[in-house]
This record gives sequence, C-alpha cells and structure tokens, in this order.
Amino acid sequence: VALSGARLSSTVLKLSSDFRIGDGAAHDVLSVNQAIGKGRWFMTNYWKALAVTVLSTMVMGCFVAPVAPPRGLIYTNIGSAIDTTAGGKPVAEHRGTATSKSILGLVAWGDSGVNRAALNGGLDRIQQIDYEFYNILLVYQRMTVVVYGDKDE
Amino acid sequence: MMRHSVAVLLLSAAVMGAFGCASYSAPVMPPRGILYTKFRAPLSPSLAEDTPAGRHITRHGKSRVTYIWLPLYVFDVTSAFNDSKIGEIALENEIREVAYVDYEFYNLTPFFNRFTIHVYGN
Repeated sequence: VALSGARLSSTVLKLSSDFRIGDGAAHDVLSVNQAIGKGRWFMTNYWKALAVTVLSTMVMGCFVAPVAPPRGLIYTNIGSAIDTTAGGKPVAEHRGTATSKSILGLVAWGDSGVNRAALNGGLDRIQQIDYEFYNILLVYQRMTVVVYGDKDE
Repeated sequence: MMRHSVAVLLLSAAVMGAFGCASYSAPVMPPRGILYTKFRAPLSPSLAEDTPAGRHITRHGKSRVTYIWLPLYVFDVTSAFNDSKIGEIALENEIREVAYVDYEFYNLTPFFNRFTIHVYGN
C-alpha cells in the first residue's frame, strides 16, 4: 500500500509538472526530481499517518452506544442505557449479562448480544437493556450488555 | 508543514475508514480490533414489554453482508455483497413475531469484513 501510494503521489505530481503557466518554458509547477522527493516524503510519512491512525483508533475505541456518558482515557467504569423506552414497563427481578472485549484496539472478541445475555441469565421474558463499559489505559476494554427480565415459575 | 499535516490527517482518516471504523454503523458498537474482531451486539435497542426470550425463542434467522477490500497499484477495489434486511430474514425463516435482533461483526485485517444480522422470534 505504501509503495502504491508513493507511486500514485509521484505520478500525480509528474502529471502536474507538464502543466505550464504563461510562456510555459520555465514555469513548471514541479520538476520530476521534486516529484520524486515528494513521493519519498509521502512514503516516510505514511508510517506516521499509520501510527496516528492506530493511536486514534485506540483512543476513540470506536465504541458507540445510544447513551454514552463521558469516558476517561486512563480509566473508565461506567454503566448506561441501551433501551431508552422505559416508561410503563414492569420492573424486572432478574438479570443476565454478556460480554465482549478488546485488547489494544488490535483484537476484539465476544458475544454481547441480547440473546446470549438472556440465555446466560436464564430469562424467559426481557424488559430492559443496559450496558457497562470498562477501560483501563486503552489497553483493555470491555463492554457488557445487561438485560433485565423474568423467569417463568 | 501545514500542508503536510493536512495530508497526514486526510490519509489517517482514509485509513481509519478503511479499517472499519467508518465501514458500518449500529446503535451499539463495542470496541473493535484492527487485526481481528468477532463479536455480537444488540441491534434492536428498544424492547417491547414482556419480550419473549430464552426457551420462548423458537425461530432464528440470519443473513450476512461481506465486504472485501483489494488495494491495487493505483486504484483500490472494494466490494460488498448480499443483504441483511430484517424483514427478508423473518420471511425466509417463517418468523411471525420478531422478539429482538442482534448483529455479528467479523473482520480479519482491514481487507475482509463480514456483517451478520441475527433475528430471533417465534
């Protein structure tokens, strides 16, 4: 990818070197040597860009929820709502949880679906969904889905 | 210097998008991994009162969208195919009443993503 990016950059800049202004003889936008230099710059900075990307991904975590309280980069241990339609629903007596995890923003795994949470809690009817989010130093992140419901007698 | 910074930022945004952060959206998105991700999460954040669960779920249907990214010499080739419509899944699997919907996201490097919708009902 880096190689093709550098070649693309050089190609674009070489094309621009053929675009002349005024009388055209001495006003090339970029010489070929300059274009190659730009290509080298692009290659060198590609790795910086990749580092920025990885860091940003880790920092942001790409974590999304309908209700998201402020989170800390160093430490986070919060809980909030997924289902925001609480009005009129009966209060459930049992709960079930399901968890997914991420390490360093590089690998992530787990089943944090409603179905798994209900099965883990042995629930027969569910009323509400919340979640918990835990982060320590952006190294380890964990999201737990909590469903509340009842069991048949 | 300024121009270089903007270029780096733009490239970062493009790579981040390709890495999957911008490749799909859902109401609930757990943290993902750049190299490997496989998780399930809720897709239907609003439950009806007394939504059936556990042994009351008698039907399960699923469908998946696959995304492939091929970075070539100058042009990148991306393709995404199949569909994951809840209504179609329910019809194909004879689900009369949908209880809730989960989804599964899988990626192996930025080049291969798979998004699966699981519909539960009876």
